[in-house]
Order: sequence, then C-alpha cells, then structure tokens
Amino acid sequence: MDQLDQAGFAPQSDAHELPFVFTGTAREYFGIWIVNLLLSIVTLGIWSAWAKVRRERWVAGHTILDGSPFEYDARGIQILVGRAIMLLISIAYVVTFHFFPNLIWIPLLVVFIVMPLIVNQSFRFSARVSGWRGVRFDFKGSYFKTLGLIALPIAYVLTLGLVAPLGSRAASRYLAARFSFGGRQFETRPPLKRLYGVLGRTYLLGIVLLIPLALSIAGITFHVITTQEIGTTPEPPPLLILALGASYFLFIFGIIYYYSISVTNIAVNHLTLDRRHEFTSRVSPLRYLWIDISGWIVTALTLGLMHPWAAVRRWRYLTAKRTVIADGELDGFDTGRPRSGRGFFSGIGIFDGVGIGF
Amino acid sequence: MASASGSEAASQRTIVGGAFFPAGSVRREPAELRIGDGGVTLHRDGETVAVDLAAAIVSDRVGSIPRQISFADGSRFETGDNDGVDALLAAAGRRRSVIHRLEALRPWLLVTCAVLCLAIFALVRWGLPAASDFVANFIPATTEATVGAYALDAFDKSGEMKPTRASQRDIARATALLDELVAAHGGDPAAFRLIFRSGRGGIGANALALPGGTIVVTDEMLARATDDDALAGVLAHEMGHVAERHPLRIFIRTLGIGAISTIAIGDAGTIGTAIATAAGVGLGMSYSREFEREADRHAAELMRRTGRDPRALGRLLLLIAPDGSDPTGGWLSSHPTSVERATNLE
Repeated sequence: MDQLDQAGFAPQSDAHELPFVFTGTAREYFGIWIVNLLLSIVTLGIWSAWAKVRRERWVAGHTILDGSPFEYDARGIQILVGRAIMLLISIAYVVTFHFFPNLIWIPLLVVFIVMPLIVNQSFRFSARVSGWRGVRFDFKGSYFKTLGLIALPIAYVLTLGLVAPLGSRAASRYLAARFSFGGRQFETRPPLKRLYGVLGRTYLLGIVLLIPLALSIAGITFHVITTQEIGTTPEPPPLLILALGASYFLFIFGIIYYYSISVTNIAVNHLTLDRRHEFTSRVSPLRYLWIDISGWIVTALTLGLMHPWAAVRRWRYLTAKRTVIADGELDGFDTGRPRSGRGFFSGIGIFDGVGIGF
Repeated sequence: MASASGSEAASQRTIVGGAFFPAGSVRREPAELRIGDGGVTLHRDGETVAVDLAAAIVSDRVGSIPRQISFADGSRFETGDNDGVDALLAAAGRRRSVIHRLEALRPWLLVTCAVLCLAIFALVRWGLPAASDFVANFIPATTEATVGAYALDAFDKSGEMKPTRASQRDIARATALLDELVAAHGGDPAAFRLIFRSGRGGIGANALALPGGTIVVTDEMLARATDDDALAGVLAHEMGHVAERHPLRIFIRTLGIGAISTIAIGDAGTIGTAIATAAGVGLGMSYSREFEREADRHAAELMRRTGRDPRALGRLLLLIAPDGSDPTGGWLSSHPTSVERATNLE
C-alpha cells in the first residue's frame, strides 16, 4: 500500500478531525542529511541552498494531511541569492565592528530599518513556495507591524515578562491575519485570560528552575570562600562550573520554551481558516523541551551523527500533536500559483515549515 | 499498489496508483496511470485518457516522499509510488535523480560518514587557516594601516588607554631597544612604529600590536620591565605579531569559522546555534594561542640575534601573572598560560 493510503481518510461530509501525520524515518533522513552536508562542504557552502530545499521538501513531503502531502517548491538558486546577500551584510557588519567600532551605529541603523522588510519578504517567500494539493499559502506583511513584532522581545525583557501576553496576542493575531491559504484568510483570537494563565505558570516554572541555579552559585561561592588564599585567583572545580552552566542554560531555555510553546498552542487552538476550519495543538512544552534537550545531548555525544534521529523525533512529535478540524470538505481554495517572487531574503529561514510552525 | 524497490522492478512497472485532482479542484479522486504500448494513459472514474508526460512537471525524488505530476492543463496526480513514477519517467525518456541514488545507497553512507569526519577535521585544522591566510595576502598594506589607525582611535576613545605619563628616559630606553631589534630583524624599519599609552584606564601592564605595524606599550609595562632584556622581549614579541600580520589573519579566520558553522548547522534551531557559536569561539581562541606561540618564537629568535636573554621575557610574564592569570587554564583562554610560555622560552 502506498503511504498516502496508509495516512489518509475517506472524506466525509460532516465536521471531522484530520490529524497531521509525519511519515519520515530517521534512517531515510540520515542519507539525505549526510549527502547534504558533504556536498555543502565540498562546494564551500554553495550547495547549502539546494540542501535546504531538499530538506524542506523532505519534511513537507512526509507531513500528510487527509492523505495528501505538503509541498515545498523553492528553487535552489533563489535561496542561494538570499544567503549570499545575508553573507555580504554580515561581513560588512563584522568588518565595521572589528576595525571601525566608532562607526558601528551605521550598519546597525541600516539593519534596524531594513529588518522588517527582510522578515516580511522572508515570510512571503516561504509561504508562497509552500502548499498542499497544489494550493499555495501567501503572506502580506505590514512594515510597521512587523517592526513592532521584532521589537517585542525588548518590551518583554524590560517588563520582566508582564506585557508578554499582550504582545503574544497582538503578534499571533497579526501574523494569522496576514497568512492565507488558497486565497482564504487565517484568523486567530487567543483569549487574554488564558495567555496570562500561561505567564503565571511560566513564573512558577522559573522559580522552580532557579533552585538548581541558586544552588550552583552557592556551591561555587562556598568553595571560593573556603579555599581562597590571598593573592591567588580562585579555581572552582570544573564540575561546579558545569553545573552552573547547565542550570543557567536550563533556566533560560526552560522558561522561553514553556512560554512560547504554550502561547503557540493557544493561538493555534483558536486559529480558523476561511472562518470555518479550525485547528488544534496539544504540544506539551515540557515534553518538547525534554525531546529537544535529550536530542542535543545524544547528538553531541555522537559528534553530530545522531542529529537526523533527533530532528525526526522532534518533527514527528510536533506533527502528531496538531490536527485540523475540517468543516465539511477541505475545498473552495484557489489553486492558482502566486509568483514566489524574488526569494532574496529567504536565506534567513525565519519561517521554517508550513503553518505548523506558527 | 505494491511498491517494489530496485531498479529492475521499476522498469517492469506498468500501473501506478494514486490520486487525481482536476484543474482548479482539491477534491481527490482515485486514479491510475498506466504505461502501455501507445504511451501513458490516465484511468479515473471509468474514463481513460492519454496524457503527455513530456509536457508535465514531475517533482524530484527526495527520499520516499510522495510525488506530484502537474499536467499542462492544470490537473494534478499525486502518488506515493516513487518507483512507479520513475518507471513513468523512464517510459517518457527522462532521467532519474542522481542525488537520490547517492542518498539511498547504504554502503556509500558509511564511506560518506568517514570521509565527512576527515574532511571536517582537515578543513578546520588546516584548510581554514590556509585559506584565510591566502585571503590575507590580498589585503594591501595601506588598507591595514588605515584600519590600524581607526582601531587605535577607537581604543583611545574607549578609555581603556589614556595619554602616556612615562618619563622621557623610559621612552628613549624603549625606542633604543626597538631600533636595535629592528636592525637585527632586517626588512623595512618603517614597518614598525612604537607609541606609548597609560594603561590606567583598564588594560594595565600590557603591550599590543595593531594592524599596520603600530606597537603600543603601556607605562605600567615599562615600569614592570626594569630589565632591558625583558622589555626587549616584549617588543620582540609584538614585532612578531606585526611581521606575521596576526591581527589581520585572526580576523579573517574568525570570519571563516562563522561562515562554516552557519553552513554546517543549517537546520539546527536555537540550541544548536548556541552550541555552534560556543565551539566557534573556542576555536578562535585556539588560533589566538597559536599566534601567541608564534610571536614568542619570533621573540626568542630575535633576542638571540641581539645577544639578549630570551628567558627574561618568561620571567617577566611570570611576574605579571604568577599562576597563569586564568583560572580555567589553557583551553579557554586566548593566551597560553604564563607558565607554558615561560617554559617554551627556556
């Protein structure tokens, strides 16, 4: 039986829940990943653009909804041009930073002004090359709203997170409204109350994760005080330093992951397409954090060779936790192909994936 | 339809099952493509039509993802039967994907892994430094000098260095030592320029080399290096940095590391990028240590030529930082430890 029959369902006429199914295996991805890496190195990075296309196509093609796979249609050359431009910008920035530190404000200002354009173009490109059953996504960004979106994290940090739910609600409403599928609009109205609930739980998690961090700091301080001799520099044992690093890492990523995944769940659970189809997302932040961290530990221990296994594990989990609640048939979409335009800024890869990554 | 693997089976395929979508519609209908004597035909809903594969767009094979065939009239055919699609392509006289065969062949993968590990190791250890130094050759001396001037300006403005308070006698002493070393070094005397700053803003007893040949020595270093041989050692060390164009080369190597890690860790996500950045910084510091050792060797050679004692520099280093000055020791610092350097200078 071919994969489509295994993953699909017979269409019915009532509202029904359609799961996303990820059919890719680590084994298969390993071959693709290894060849991508080798060719990229041998071609000094030029192949990396085509490598990205192959990877995106593989992930999209193994994501099945109602028996049909997702599609990713970018051409390698578009991504290459985008990456080349980003590389030139980075070099200009580093040269200035290294040799002309006084003038650093010039490239920073330019980047700041140009960033919303880059982000919007990047979203638009990724959307227009992604599709399902021949129907394409689209994105129409607004310069100032995207500028606001980029500046949000600053506000979060300044207010210790208190305005984060407001920002998340505004961000998800803005983004959803600007994406479309086959000419039909997405929309989401996540309730503020639930978002603040997430914030509260994030604070609690933060307090819990502060404990190992505080213990590490206390341990190091204790060690320094008891072994310090005048005139020498303290040398805490490497194990304590490792513990400090790990607990700091865990604290930062723990609260970021918990908040952003929970908020994304809420946004997706209130997402609608064409005002009739709905979506669900039941990703567990802690489970996902565990999958991500354990994946990275295994990858590091195997010098990177287990990366395909870790990646497939992540994708499979995320896909399995999302569904579409279709109102009747999934139809009525325009099948015309919008021009994917100049993929100049797709090299940033801000938007990876197909609406599953909101 | 059962999908067989292997190219022999593919060439015998005659039926490919899948889903058909009429132009403009997303409703799927079961359908089949059949390879017959008269070409390829599409069977659906009891009807049979001939199709022109030559004019159709067929998606590339990547692993085992389903394929799409877009016909000229806008209708589409989706199937998970990759071998079947390959058979259709063969019937229409079109080529199969070479990359896919590379990705699918199992024994090749292990060889590819081994080659990859070796390639990465060789690249990082030898390729990157060699390529960066090659690029450095193309940077003209005037550009380097301009850059050095800007860097000095920035340093002065940052407050880490302040105008010198050294006595005329100390300045004369240092300048005389430099002249002696430059004479022994050979080459263009104008390539080295000695200037003085006070390190009371933060850098303390220190000496640095800027791109373009300017050597900065701080008052605090002059005060510590009462022994002429030791001061000559410091100057010789910095001259080593200038002669080998270390500041420029380190900068280019760091750029290279950044570019490579970005390429290699393509789909990594946030945690992966953080790890790659940390590894890159560690690598950059090891290049730093390599250059410091090179400068020390240069200094020792120059000292011997002028009849001075190379170990004086080692003693000075131990005086400034007796225990190595970096608690985490060799690997995480940008200089080899003072102890290591003193030993090497013996």
